[in-house]
Amino acid sequence: MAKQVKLSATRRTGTGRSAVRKIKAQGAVPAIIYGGKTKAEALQISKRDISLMLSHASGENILVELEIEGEKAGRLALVQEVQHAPLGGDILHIDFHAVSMDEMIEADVPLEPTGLPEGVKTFGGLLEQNIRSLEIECLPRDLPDVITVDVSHLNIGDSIHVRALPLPSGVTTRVPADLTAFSVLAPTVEEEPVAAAEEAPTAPEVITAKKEPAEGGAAPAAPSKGAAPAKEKEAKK
Amino acid sequence: MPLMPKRVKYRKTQRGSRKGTASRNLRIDFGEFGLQTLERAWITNTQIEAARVALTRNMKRKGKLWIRIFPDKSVTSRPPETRMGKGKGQPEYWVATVKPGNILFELDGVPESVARESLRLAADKLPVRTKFLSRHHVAA
Repeated sequence: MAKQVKLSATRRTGTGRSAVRKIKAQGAVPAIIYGGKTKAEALQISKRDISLMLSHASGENILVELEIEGEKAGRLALVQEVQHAPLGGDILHIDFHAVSMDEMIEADVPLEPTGLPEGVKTFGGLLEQNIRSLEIECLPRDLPDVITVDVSHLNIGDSIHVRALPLPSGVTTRVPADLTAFSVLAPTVEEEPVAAAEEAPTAPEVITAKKEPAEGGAAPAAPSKGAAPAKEKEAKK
Repeated sequence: MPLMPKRVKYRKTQRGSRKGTASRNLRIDFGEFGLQTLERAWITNTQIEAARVALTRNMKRKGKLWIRIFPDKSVTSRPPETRMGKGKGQPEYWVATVKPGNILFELDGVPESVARESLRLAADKLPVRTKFLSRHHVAA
């Protein structure tokens, strides 16, 4: 089940690029909490606390008890989204989704295969994972970190569909049951394209190329610029 | 067959802009491991092909490979020792424009050690500095 972590946050009034830059310079990360019966509120959280929380978590589904400055009781929230910088991976922003313990929530939980499939071990096949994360519905206390699936019995051509996934008790999914989650493919032998290279075209087909009517011989694919004015001159004479 | 489009609207393109960082194709979407560029460049079709060959040879044709970039931009050049003028040169080769953060290749079905070595060999064929990414270490 997902771990519950305590995190302290403060409200922020400034929004927008300039305010966020100042917040980041202070060593904090901008965040927002929404959902439930209250209005969305902009927050800021210490970058160190966030990094610690994410590094200790096994999955991305973390239940957080947010202790917001000025509020007596903590608010239960689910980490909805963590935005990372494309380069370097710095945390840019965090979304918290306020939840209550007795209301169903929706979350994306990663699917992880365990064991080496028989078809891979014996015949050198390839385990293909078609679904990386599963959309599930459950109560916050039933939220799993990860759904592990034993794939060791799969032979070449075998597959595991969504309907066969071992979901923990209290967890349901809305993903169509016919979808394939894991399959073992036969080993492919890649052929070197030796003969095809000689016949391969060297230039792509041009869609907007003007097609000239065939007069006796084949028309040139790309007429030179000098050719067209010469014809016009002859016509004028 | 060299990597290039099958059909194009126009044979010659303008150079375009390469500024900024990538805003799409910046996450591992298909495989388990990936190669991310840290620099901006035009990567030619021959460089992509050389990297692909290096990858598949080291993987011993096991696993699965995704090439996330495609050379859809033609680059023209003028013949040597010609005077200026007389219009734009003829298309010589094709390039893919990459910006910092773009994922170039993705791999699956091989152990991490093999993936690291294969992608290192592939990166040596490319004109950009790169970073190895794994789905399990997002912020690596």
